[in-house]
Amino acid sequence: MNEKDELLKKLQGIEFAMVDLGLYLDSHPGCRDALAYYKNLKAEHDTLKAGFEERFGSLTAGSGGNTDYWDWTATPWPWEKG
Amino acid sequence: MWIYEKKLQYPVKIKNPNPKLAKVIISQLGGPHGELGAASRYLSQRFAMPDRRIIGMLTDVGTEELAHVEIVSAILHQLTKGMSEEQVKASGIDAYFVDHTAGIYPQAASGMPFSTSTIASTGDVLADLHEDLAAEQKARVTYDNILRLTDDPDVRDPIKFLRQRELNHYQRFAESLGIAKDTLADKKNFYYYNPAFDKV
Repeated sequence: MNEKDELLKKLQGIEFAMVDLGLYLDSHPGCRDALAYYKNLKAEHDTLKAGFEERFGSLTAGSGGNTDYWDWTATPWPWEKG
Repeated sequence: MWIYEKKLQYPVKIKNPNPKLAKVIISQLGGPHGELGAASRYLSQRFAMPDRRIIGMLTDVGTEELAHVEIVSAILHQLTKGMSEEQVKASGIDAYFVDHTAGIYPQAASGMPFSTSTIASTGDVLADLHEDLAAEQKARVTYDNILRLTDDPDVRDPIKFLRQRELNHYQRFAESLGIAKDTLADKKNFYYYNPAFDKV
């Protein structure tokens, strides 16, 4: 697995944990343990995402830091092979 | 993947319920030129596109159409919220009410449930982009007709916004068609081959 895919896999793992934990929090909005866990995940996620975008381009339209070129439509779409 | 933002793309604040008007505006939710069809069309067509810029256009317009599904739904909700049984009967929304009460169900004004038979995804780059240009014009016509049927400024305002978006999308799809033609191998005969399927 190349570096990009490895970093992406980490990000996907954290995001999935946040999505699933988010569903739990929808029905348990006052659970302090879950809130603390979410906070940690989000901090790790934000750092990882910024690092990924700096190297491999925007994950959402305009989210990366590139001010010279609109990289949103330059990098591969997720279903492209290779 | 997608992330939801808890806001409308354009505000909807309708003071006066009007179920009769909801009966016709519902076509832009689940009708033949509606927003749900638009989102389904563009997000499905992306996979046959040979150019990343055109995939980006279909992704971004398709995503915006999902926001328009929500705007039209908000209009329908505000037009029908709190309506009385008398209003249900007098407005003619009773045929909808019997199955859906004041819930939101994607269908055409005629009562036909939402159907993907009203969209195309041909797997052919040029055919799909021409479909998209026509689709934006047809949605614009439906918004024009909705504007002919109401004087309420609270309703007209978000409808005018949605109508204008059809024009902008049309313009961007016209440019996408230009990009597609510019990148085809044989510029004298655009229909020589389909880059999404044929090997050359």
